Amino acid sequence: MDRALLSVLLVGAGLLGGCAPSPGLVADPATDGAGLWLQGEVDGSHALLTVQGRQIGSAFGLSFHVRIDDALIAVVAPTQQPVLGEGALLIERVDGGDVAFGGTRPSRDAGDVEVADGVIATLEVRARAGATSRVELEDAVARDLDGSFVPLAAAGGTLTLEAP
Amino acid sequence: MKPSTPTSRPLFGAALLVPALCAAPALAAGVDVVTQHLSVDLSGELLRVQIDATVDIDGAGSFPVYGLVAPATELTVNGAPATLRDDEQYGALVQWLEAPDAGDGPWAVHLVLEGAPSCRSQLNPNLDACTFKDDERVLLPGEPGAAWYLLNVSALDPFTGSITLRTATDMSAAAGQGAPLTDEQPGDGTRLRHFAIDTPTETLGAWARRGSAVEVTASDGTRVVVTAPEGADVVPLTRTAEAMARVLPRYQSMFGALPFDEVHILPVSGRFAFGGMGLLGNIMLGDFITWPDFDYLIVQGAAHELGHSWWGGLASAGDYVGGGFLQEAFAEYSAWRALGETGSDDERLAGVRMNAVWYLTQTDPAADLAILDESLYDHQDVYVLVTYHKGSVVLRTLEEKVGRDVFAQALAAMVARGPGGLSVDALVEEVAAAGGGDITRDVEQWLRQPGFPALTVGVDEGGALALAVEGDYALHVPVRATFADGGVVDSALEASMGDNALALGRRPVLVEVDPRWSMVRTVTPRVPGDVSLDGRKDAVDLMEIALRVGGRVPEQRRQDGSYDPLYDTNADGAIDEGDFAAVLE
Repeated sequence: MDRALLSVLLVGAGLLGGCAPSPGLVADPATDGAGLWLQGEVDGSHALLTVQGRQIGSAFGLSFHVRIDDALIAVVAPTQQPVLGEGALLIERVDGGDVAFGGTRPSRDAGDVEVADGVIATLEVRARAGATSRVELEDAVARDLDGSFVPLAAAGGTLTLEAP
Repeated sequence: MKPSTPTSRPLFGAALLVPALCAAPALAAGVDVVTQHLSVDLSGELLRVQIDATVDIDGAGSFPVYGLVAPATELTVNGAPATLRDDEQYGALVQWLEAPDAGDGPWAVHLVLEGAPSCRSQLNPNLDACTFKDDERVLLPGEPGAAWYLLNVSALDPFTGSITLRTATDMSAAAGQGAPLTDEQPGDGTRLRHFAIDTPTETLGAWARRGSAVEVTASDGTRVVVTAPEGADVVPLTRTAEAMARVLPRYQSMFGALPFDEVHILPVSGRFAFGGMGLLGNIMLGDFITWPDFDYLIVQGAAHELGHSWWGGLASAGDYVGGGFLQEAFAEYSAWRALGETGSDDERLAGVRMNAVWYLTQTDPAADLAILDESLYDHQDVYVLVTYHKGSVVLRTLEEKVGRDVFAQALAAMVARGPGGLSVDALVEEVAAAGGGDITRDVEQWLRQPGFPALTVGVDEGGALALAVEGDYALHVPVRATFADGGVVDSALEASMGDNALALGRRPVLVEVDPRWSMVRTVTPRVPGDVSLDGRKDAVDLMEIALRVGGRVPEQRRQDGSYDPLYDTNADGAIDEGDFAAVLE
C-alpha cells in the first residue's frame, strides 16, 4: 500500500475513534453546601453509580430520584447504605427510568440522625445499547424532625456505556 | 310549629314532647312571659322559690309550663287564687297554670315553691335535675318536671327580670347574668346576692357551693371567676379560667360584647347530665372534668360552653329543626376558632380535625342523617355526631370559602338578631350581606344531605393535579404543594363532582389537599400508598407516615388522636409500622 494512502487511513481511523467516547461517567460539578453528587465506575457496558452525600447533617429522612434513559440503560440493582441508622425504613423503587431512593426514621420518637458524608446509595446499571445519556439526580430533599423540607443540591452526570 | 330552645329542651330529651304539645289547639292562644323576678332561698334544708312574673296572655285562661321541682304552696294571678293542673298526657312533666277568670292582658303571677326539691330527673332517672347538698346547691335550667321558674312550653319565650339568691354566708354563688348587683349579709347567717336578668333569656341557673374562688381578669377587663370545690384540684380549674380570660376578649371582638363584665365557671357534682352547660355568662362543668383522665376536655369544653353566651344566650334559634346546629355547632366552631386565634393555629387544627375525624370514624353511613333532618332529635347518637362534630366543621368550611373576616362579620350580625333570631336562612342572608356571596349551595350539600365528599388525588409528571370528587358537592379545596427546591405554593381548586384538574406547573414532592381540615372529607391517593399525593411512591411517603406514627382513632369523644385516615393505609385505626407496607410493596 502506498505510504501516503496508509497515513490517510490511519489518520481517518484515529479521527473516527475520537468521535466514539470511551465508556465512563462525566460527573457534573458539585456545588457547595448540602447536596448529593454522582460517581461511577464503568466497565464497558456495565456501570456502578454511587450517590454521594455531603454536609447533609441531621435528618429525619432523605428522598431523591435517579433518572436514567431506560431506552438505553437498564437497572440491575439499586442499593442503599444505612445512613439513616438502625430501624430506618428504606425504599429503592424502580419505575421505568425513575429510581426512587431514600428512607425515613421510623417515627418522631426515634429522633433524627446525623448523616455522614460519603456513599448513600448505589445503582448498578447495564447498557441496552451503546450510547451516551444523562443520569439525573432529581427531587433531592432531606426532612427535619418537624417535617420541614431541606432542599439538597444535586449533581448528576453523563454516562457512556458500550453496547452489550 | 312551636319553636323550642334547642340547647335545652331537646337535649333534656323533650324533643318529642314539645312538638306533640305544639299540636294542642289550646296553644293557639298567645302567651308571653315578659318578666320574672325570682327570689331563691338555697340556705335551708328546703328549697324555697318565689316567682313574681308578668305574663301577657291572649285568648285563653291557662297556659302550660314545665312541671315544677318543688310543691307550689302559693299561687295567685292578679291577686286571685289560681291553680296548677297536671297535663292529661304528660302528667307532672307539664302543668297548666289556670286562672280562667283572670281574662286577657297582663297577668301578675305570684307563685311560691317550697319543699324538698325532686332532683331526680323525670326524663332520665340516672341524672340529676338539681343538686341539694350541704356544700352545694344547684338548680339547672328547668326541664319538664323539675322547673324552678316559669318555662312556657308553648313557645320560645325569653324574659327579663332578676334573681335574688339567699345562701349560707360562706358559699360562693352565681345566677342570672354577670356579677351580683348587690351582695349583703342581713345578719341571720345568710347572704343575699341580687343578680340581673337584663338580657332576655329563658335559660337560667342558680348555683351555690363552698370552695376557694380564683379570679382572672381578661385583657378587656372582663373577670373570669371560678370556684374550686373543697377537695378538687384547683390547678385545672385555674388553667381553665386563664384560658377563658384569653378567649373571652376574642369572642367579644368577633360577636359583640357581653352586657356584663363577669363570667363564672361553676363546677357541679353528682349526676350532672353533661360535661358542661353554657348559660349566658355562666359555665357549669361536671366535677369529673377536673380529673386527670379528662384533662383533654376541660379547656375545650369550657370554651364551647362560654360560646353559648352568644349562641343560645345573646342569640338563640327560632327554628326547631336546625336549632341544635345553630347553637351547638356554632359554639363548637367558635371555641376552636377563638382557641386557635388566641393560642396557636395548630391548636385549632387539632380541634377541627378531632371533630371531623370523630364524625368520619363513628358514623354508620347507613344511619347518617342530614344536619337539618327533621327526625334528627329522635336519633341522639347521630344528633351528636352530625350537630357538634360535622356541623362545627361545616362552619369552618364556610369560613374557608367566604373568608375569615367576612364570616366573623356575618356571625356578629347573626348574634345581633337576638333570641329566636338564629336560623339557617339568617346565616345565608348575613353571609351575603357581609360580602361572602351566596352560600345556598353549601347549605344544601352540607346541611340538607347526609354524608361527606370523598376526594381522590394524584399528580402527573408535568405537575397536573387530578382531583376526583365522589358525591354531589361543589367544593373550595385548598391545595398546598411543596417542591424539592423548598418552594411552597398555596392555591385552591374549585371542584365539583367528578374529575377536576389544577396545574401546579411542575411536579412537587408533596401535595397536601385541605391540609387544615377545612371540611369533612376523606382524601385518598390515586396510587395506593402515595400519601404524599405527588403521583409516585417514594421516601417522602414513608416520611409522611413516620411523622404521624402514634396517631390513632380516639377512644373517647373529643379526644384528639392526631389521627388522619390518609396515613392509616391499612385502615386499622392506628398509624403505625403496618402502614409503611403500602408504600414499600
